[in-house]
Amino acid sequence: MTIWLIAFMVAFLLPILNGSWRLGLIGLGLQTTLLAVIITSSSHELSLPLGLQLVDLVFVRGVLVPAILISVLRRVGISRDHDLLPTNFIYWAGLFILIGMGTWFGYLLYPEDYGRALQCGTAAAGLLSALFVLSLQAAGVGQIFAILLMENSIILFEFLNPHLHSLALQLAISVVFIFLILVFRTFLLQLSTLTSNEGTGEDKDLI
Amino acid sequence: MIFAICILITFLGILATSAAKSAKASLTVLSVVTFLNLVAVGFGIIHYWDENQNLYFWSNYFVSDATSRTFLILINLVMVGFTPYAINRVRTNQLAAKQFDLFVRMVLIFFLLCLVVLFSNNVILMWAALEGTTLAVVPLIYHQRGQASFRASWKYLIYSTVGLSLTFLGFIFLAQAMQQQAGEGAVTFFFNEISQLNLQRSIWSELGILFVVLGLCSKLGLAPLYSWLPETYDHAPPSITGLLAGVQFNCTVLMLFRFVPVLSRVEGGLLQTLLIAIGLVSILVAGINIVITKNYKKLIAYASINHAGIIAIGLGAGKSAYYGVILYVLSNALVKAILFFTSGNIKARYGTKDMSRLQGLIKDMPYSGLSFMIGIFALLGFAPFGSFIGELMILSRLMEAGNWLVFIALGFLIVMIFVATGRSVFPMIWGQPQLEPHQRSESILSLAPNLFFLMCLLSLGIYIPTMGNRVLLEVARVLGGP
Repeated sequence: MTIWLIAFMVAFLLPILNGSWRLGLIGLGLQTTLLAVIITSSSHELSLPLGLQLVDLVFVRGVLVPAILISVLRRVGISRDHDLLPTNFIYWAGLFILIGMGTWFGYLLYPEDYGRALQCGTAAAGLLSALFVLSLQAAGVGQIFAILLMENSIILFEFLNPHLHSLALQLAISVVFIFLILVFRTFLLQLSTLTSNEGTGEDKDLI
Repeated sequence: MIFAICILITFLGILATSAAKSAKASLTVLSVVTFLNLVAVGFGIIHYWDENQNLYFWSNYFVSDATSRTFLILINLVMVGFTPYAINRVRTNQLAAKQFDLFVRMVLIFFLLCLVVLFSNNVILMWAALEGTTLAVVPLIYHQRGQASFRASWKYLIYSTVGLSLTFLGFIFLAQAMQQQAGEGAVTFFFNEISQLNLQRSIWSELGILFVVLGLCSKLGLAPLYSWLPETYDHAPPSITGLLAGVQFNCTVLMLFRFVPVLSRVEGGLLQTLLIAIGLVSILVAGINIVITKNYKKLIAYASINHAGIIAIGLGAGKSAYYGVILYVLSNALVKAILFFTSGNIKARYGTKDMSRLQGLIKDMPYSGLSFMIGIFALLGFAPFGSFIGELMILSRLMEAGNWLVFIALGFLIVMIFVATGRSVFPMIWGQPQLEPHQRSESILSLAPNLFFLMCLLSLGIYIPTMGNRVLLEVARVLGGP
């Protein structure tokens, strides 16, 4: 488990520390695939809800979402370089302080269980880093990245508990997530077509 | 039964809008769906009403109890106001008819998901449906395709997603608390089962309370994550602002209502402190912005933050304040519907949202001016409206509990908001008209929803029928009231 959690953290930092959104999206896909590995390596028996969760993690979040976002970002012609974190020492130091705090939080909650402490700490570090990135991003693409990073950290928190949602609930969560991504896609497409002189005054309030 | 019928009617309405080719056909679908839903709810009230009966159905995923039924009536009432407003706007402005079928379809999807939220007995299902309402309403906020509404809808989406993600994290922490206390098999996300667990205080339960409250409060537009609300309410079409403030807001309040009795048993002190602190800070933020703003739609939006703050304080105060909170929530939904729908009529007539440019509304637009004036009175908590009684009950509970500091702070902030709102709005209502109106006549249809809402508002303050009062008392009892 430890090796997978370390790999998850590396995949987590990849989009944040690397200034390219393509590599960032690959990092996001890698994270969800690692989440699938983490859940299968725990003591779950194979069941329909677990199967659906694996499909959600590997195919929806790991393949479909990065593919949708890569295609839309290419279509709107967004520059390859996109820093999620400003490249200066202060922000990087801030990020590593938050990662340290998250890890410390894990050990605080599970002082005698190294595995769980690491999982909880990684999830907390991820969540704090994602919120940090979100607070620094004014651009839509960066905010989408931050939200997806936050979602992945929350899933890692969720795996602390062996409880699995029923098939219907798991399906509801996946469907909502897919629609969220589709709304993000529409926004990114709209962003490129919205010219600066359109609707700069007050809205018409037709309806 | 009522739930299934309402779901079916709305679902058929969604299918019908897909076939509708014109704005007129979409309007007919909207009117029919609203009317049939109202008939179904009315029939349910007359024939199957028992406020003490909790019906669990569809494998316990749904519940029909006093709380869900009360909110069902409320959101249907708002829809009853929304429909004539939309009809009037489409009739008076041909541009509003553009893509109206899509508009109605999204409104009905939004409404259907709201119904799921109201009747859900499962935390995750309720969360997913609430997130669904957010996704359904985003294209509606951006319906007019302006840059400002684009920015507003994006901000709304990001803030809502973050708020609901934090709420979900809170559920996970609560599940951890359940597992630690009673073992793996004890973890449940059904509200009735969580209540029976008698969850004890632990670090996980405290984290759970913190995140659930923070997440839901951000969805209500409370501090610290409040800044989406004024922008969204200002730039969304007025009809959609009315739905956000009158329907979605109440779905979130209902979710908070479901959590309050569960969480107050675990760690009442933390819950109370959190709700009161968030409420007071939000009212302060709203008060300062009400003093500053010159935009009447934004002013009502900040008043919404103020109202959400008072609801949070009332829930924090507990006991006898719960009944006041319920009255306040019901009045709040109707007041917001009146004010936002009227502000749409005013904007259509003058083409501006600047209060300093508007005067003599009551002379120039007697129907809308009168509605706006009475709406503002109810907004400010004048007697005899329900908001007045609600506010009074919350304040008296604070005194009774010896929360003098909160009582004084709240009293001061209410007076500040009262003066600031009156100073900005009253010159707009009275005085000599200055601007040349864009539209001449005012349709009686624009008055119809407001008249209906005003009657309901007065009834909440003066006389609540015995059966209705029993239901409200039951909702308060479930929350933890006497």
